[in-house]
Amino acid sequence: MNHIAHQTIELSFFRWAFIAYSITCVLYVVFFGLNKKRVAYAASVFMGTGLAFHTAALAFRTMYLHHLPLTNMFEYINIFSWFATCFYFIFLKIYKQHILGAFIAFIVFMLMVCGSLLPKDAEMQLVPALQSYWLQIHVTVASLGEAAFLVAFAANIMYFLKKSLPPASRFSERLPEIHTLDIIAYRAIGIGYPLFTVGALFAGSIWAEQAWGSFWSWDPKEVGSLIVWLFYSAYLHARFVKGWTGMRAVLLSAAGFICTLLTFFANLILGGLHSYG
Amino acid sequence: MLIKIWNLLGSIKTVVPLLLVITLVSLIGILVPQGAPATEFNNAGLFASLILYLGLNHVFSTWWFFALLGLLSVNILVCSISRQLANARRIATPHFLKGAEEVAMLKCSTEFSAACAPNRGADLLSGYFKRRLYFSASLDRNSAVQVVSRSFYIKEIGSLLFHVSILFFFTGGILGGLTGFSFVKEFHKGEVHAIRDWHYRVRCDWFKVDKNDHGTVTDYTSKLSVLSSDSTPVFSHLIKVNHPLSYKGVRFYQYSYGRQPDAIDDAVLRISGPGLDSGLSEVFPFNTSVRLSTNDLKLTITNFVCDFDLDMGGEFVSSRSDKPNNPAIRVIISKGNDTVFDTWSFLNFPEIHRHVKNAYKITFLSYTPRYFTGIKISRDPGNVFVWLGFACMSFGIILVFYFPNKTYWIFMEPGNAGFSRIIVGASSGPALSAFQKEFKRTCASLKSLLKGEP
Repeated sequence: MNHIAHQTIELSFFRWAFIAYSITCVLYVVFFGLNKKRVAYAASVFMGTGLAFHTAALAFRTMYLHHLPLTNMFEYINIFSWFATCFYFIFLKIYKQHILGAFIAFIVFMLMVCGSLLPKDAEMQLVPALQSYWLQIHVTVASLGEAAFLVAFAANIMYFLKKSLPPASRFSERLPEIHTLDIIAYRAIGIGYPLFTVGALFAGSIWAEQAWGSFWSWDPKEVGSLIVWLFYSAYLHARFVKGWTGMRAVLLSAAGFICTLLTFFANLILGGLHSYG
Repeated sequence: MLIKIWNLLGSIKTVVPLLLVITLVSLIGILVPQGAPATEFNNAGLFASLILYLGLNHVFSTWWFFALLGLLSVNILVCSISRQLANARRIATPHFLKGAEEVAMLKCSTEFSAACAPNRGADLLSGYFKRRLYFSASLDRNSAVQVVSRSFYIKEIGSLLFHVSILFFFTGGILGGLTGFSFVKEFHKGEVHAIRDWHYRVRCDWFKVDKNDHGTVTDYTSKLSVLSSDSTPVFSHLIKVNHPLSYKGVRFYQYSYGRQPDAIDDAVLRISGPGLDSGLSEVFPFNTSVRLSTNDLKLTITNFVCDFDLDMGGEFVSSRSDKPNNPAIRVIISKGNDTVFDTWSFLNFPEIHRHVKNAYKITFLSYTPRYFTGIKISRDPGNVFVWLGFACMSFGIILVFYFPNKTYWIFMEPGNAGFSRIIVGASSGPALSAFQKEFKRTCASLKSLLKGEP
């Protein structure tokens, strides 16, 4: 099978994953309206189906590239949203909150929309700078950390809505308790923060020192990642030392995730040493 | 006054605005092209003047950005000291709860009776928790005894390591900035560069660019030889991207490459003229005399320019740019020590050459460019601190997140018929559900230890 045939099959898997995630979003909207448990279960089933197609697409791309698909923005967006969906199922298992999927599915869907607008060509030949095992470590662990931040962001939005809406409103009633949302966000950041620190900053710095000759170059992506890290550090510091919970903590961690997205999309405009990914 | 300044420096009220300012400045640093020369901002109005005045075109090397980082490091230092002092105080002073009610109100709590006097029970509990590496203290009041046992101070150690790691990063950065060096040297084949203060030299033996069938660069490699001060080769090493050479604290990185604008490896020429076979095409190396035929004629390519330009007087040849827009070579044909023919030949204009009767006709068909290799040479004595910082922060984060503090409070008071009333309460980090299992196991052990009844 030639390169184009491989890519056609793989992109059709992505398309099916995209359709499944779209249906998931629609089902969650229905769930908000009807509050039927079965609709929420159906939404989770479709999200699982989307994840299965997504897994197949990534596996297929990995097989014909002979390396993990981590070298351009389309591939990164896919691995990022794939990890976020996996995290949803882990958090669903622990907290039994189907409604969390409504927000995660919507963000994943939006990411897939952005991904669909980006060039999808697979890099068969890696540029010399990317020919290192650090590529797999740095990008995989960093995206895993960012995916955990996405889960925290979804919990932040739910927290914000729960606080803003009248307690007796139907929409508010569908959302979990404030305390549960706070714990979900904290636990997700508790997973994401060490991964992001080690994957994005440490592994990235070590690789940069090997490839470019310095740990830190004040590259736009590096500075952006540092800002993200500072926001989440401030969140955790405020929580540990000052016992910050509630809206202040929610705003701080939500700002961290918005910076994560800006850092990612800034590549399209600012370029720099990370311009390929 | 000093205490106020100390508290202000270590306060979260200082660090949050400071982080926001650093974030804002960094965002400006991302948006304004860094390293752009001042001339680029000429005629761009008031905003450009502001950029130049504040140094926003090199924001990460301005004194005030360093001052902000310095202030942040002072904040972290003060915060670390204050926090560690508070931790030490907390460790030294056991935290007893007010009474049985407060112990019972904890999220993890249970109550049972035991055939054991409170004082004897306190001794048994202290021994039990000591075996689990817990620190225990007891308080005897009105014949009731309260025992508080706290797990080893792993979280505090994690917090200390985390704060120390940030100071390591700052130390590494400052030390590297003050005593290190870093520059990119463009090596041509065979070129030697002396490494200042280290009494050795480095020679680039060769450089090659590997390409695949589609013409995409797959790798670029330089062979470097380290020479002693008397030019004796010490050893040779192949360096590639991601595979630098490290020698006596100096690192050599494969950083870039490019075409040499004034030299080539060889050129393919077609030559015809007196005494030569018509249409002879051959590869001629650059700057090397090659015998043309059985007679004594020799051909030498003496010069190369990538973008040919001639001055107004028609005498001096130079290159208009470093791009191969109009490659040209100077060819000299000689016999013995006498030059018999001297001309410039153009790749893009093969028909343009000197027309002299009975002269040679030289057509420049193609050439192999000669590449230079960009080697980044750097020495950073701060690296060791950065590595220490990585290690400390990684351990610190693991300890803080995955080893929560666990504290048990056991309140014992005399009950009926020789039995004591035992109330056990405990607290842990946010992973309460996981801790509840451990709490149940601990309570079962305590019951068995104190011979308790449910």
